Amino acid sequence: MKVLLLSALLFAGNLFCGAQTAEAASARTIRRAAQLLGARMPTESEVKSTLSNQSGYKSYVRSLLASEGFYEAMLRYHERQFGVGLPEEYLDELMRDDLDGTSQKLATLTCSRTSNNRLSCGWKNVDRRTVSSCKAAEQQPVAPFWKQGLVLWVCPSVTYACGADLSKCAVEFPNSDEARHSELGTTDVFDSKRSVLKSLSRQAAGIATAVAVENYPYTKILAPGLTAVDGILAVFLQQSFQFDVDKLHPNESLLRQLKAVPASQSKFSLVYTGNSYETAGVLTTFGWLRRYEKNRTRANQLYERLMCRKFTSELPRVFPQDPGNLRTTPGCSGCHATLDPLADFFSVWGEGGALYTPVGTGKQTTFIGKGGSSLADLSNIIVGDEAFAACTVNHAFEWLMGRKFRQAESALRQSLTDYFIGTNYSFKELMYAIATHPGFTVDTRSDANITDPLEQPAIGKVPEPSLPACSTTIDYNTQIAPLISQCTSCHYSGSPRQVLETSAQWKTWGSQAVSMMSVGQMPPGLQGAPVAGNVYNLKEAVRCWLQQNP
Amino acid sequence: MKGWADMKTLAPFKIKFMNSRCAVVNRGSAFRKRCSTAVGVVVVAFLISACRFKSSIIESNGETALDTIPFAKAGSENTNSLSAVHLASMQSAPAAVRPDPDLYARRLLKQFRKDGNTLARQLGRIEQYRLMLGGASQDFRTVPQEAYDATSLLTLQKVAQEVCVSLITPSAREHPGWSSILPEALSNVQGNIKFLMTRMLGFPESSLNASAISELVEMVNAFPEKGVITAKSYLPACTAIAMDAEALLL
Repeated sequence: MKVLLLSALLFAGNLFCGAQTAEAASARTIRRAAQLLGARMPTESEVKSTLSNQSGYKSYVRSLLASEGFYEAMLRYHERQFGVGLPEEYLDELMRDDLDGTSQKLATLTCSRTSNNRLSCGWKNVDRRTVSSCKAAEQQPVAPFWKQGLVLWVCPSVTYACGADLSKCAVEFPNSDEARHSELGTTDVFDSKRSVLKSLSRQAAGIATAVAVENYPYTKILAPGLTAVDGILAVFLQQSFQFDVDKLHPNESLLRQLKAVPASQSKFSLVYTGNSYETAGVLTTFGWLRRYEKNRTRANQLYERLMCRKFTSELPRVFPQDPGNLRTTPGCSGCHATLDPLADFFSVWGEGGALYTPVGTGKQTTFIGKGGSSLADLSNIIVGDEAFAACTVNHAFEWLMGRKFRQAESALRQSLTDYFIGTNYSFKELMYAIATHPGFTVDTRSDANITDPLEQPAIGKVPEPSLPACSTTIDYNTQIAPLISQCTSCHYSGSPRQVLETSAQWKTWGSQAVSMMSVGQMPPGLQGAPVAGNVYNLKEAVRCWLQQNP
Repeated sequence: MKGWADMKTLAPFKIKFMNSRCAVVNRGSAFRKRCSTAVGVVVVAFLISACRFKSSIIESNGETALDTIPFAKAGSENTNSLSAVHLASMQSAPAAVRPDPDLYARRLLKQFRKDGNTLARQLGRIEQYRLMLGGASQDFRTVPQEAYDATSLLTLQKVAQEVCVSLITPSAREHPGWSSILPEALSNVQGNIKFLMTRMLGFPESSLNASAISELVEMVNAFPEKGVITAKSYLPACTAIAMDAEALLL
């Protein structure tokens, strides 16, 4: 057998002869797109039909982006992007140990198949043995929440304590490896601890994935008040007798909405819990805050993962014993003058185990020259900088192309960034733009190690989509004045704000108003950059009018 | 009294559970029948005291809906702008990408098998190889490998063997409900090899290398059992396909 396998390995060469033909070139591209965007191999009929017509490949990419597999591919993409994974001890911290004075703290069921192929669950005792407290004949059938159609047999006390679907108790199966690989809803096996840990670890990825799949602006991955839950998290957050859920600071709105998430739901759904200054989507998931437990680490990770920038500095030759204020000490301030104020945005959240203490009050601080005191402010600062968009483009490009941008590809990155911003941060459209680029569809493969990588995206530039040409002459009285009531309800004479009632005032302040409208900062209540409607029309009219009347 | 003993074991939890069940009428009648009057009094006392607390358990009954997400959707394809993007040139071809080592076995198996107990058990069996294959650690401090080294390549061979066994020669004991994926009679080696190649490599039959097919056929023919081609004869060829350059890198 060994010789045989050796020959098999030696054989491992090229089973695919199509490198020379155009058809095969496309087949290889189809396969790559299917794997990276659809999380699966294409079927032979898919390849054939895609190759059979000119626009087949683009239609195929569209179908992948609309498929179930895209969710799976994006979940994995974001898991790798955010690097959030939780070791078991973090879940142990959340388990209640104040139920009683005994050593048995948790109502745990352990389940197994009996000799007559009956799946039954009994109480797990402190000595880790299953305690069956009734005769087999007294057991009742129940339908557990983790798989439809599954019948489990339990003692009446179990149904009584754990509910008709067993969702109120912890459940264990003896084979933990099998439990680890069980997809919710598809197997008899379920392990509460592993499932909860997996879902908590994936929550940040779940938010970003749901935002991408549902085609919300990608900036919403940092939206205050936005989170995501799957069925397991919904069950977990309602098991306040087993887990000290309050430690996670869930708000009332979230707890209320959990009722709408079925326990068997394996995908993450977005949940909006109302605007809250202390939250910022991905950055305030339990996974992010616990995995990156210090404020500096949280700040450092977001700087690297969301803005593609790194704190690097040369340390002083002789490191001072007490460097004092790192923000000002030579050799330290290069990083800490930016890192520490950035970390201060997280000050409402405790560090390490103190994460579980009540949410504190914010600290006035700055990042890239913009001030704020909450994570909601930080979220606005990040998404209001083009570096966020450019960094997202970097990551998406690397995922699909398998390599970084090269130095000479700065125009490509800029045009992809402009396109991403222009589609109001549609991550799906970004993926489509890269996967259908002629450079992606070539048949050859290059080295992943780039010796001339493109530099990190610059910070401090306001994102501005590629703008349409000003083809008609704008008249202030007929095309701008009728739209300014959106602004003058606040910006009127006598108000503490800048007055915007006359053409002269618009001449002076119009440019600033345009930039605020462009990113959705003004008028208040705007959800993201406007792409149509009165605000968009006003912004475009003023922009062109200013251009034509410098 | 057995019911009482049962309850005693779980007493600390009962208060909470009863609390949660305050609004739920259907109680375990079989359980109650076995309780003595005294126990019943205790239960009622528990129940009353528990019901004073606000229930912290929320039944997942699907009666409510999630609040609407108050954000406008992002845009859709802009043909003109996209054309401009596609005019910006790339300086080099895409780099070869290694399939995700954490998902390699699952994705290979899922091409042929549905999610379920047997699949989970099979993946559980090869879980021990995941880290050596280059998978991520639980906390992602070790990130998934993007290239191969000697260890991961040899581990991949082992994993591919295990996967091939479960696909081609599944056993009733270890793989209940699974049968061999080979679509043709075992004697139709070429037909079966073409099937394995198209499915495992993701290329249409017309793109396959004829000489590679014949070499794989020879490989199968070289390992008959008692002079007859059996499903086991296909295992080396299956492993060879899984280890092919086209399978190793996308």
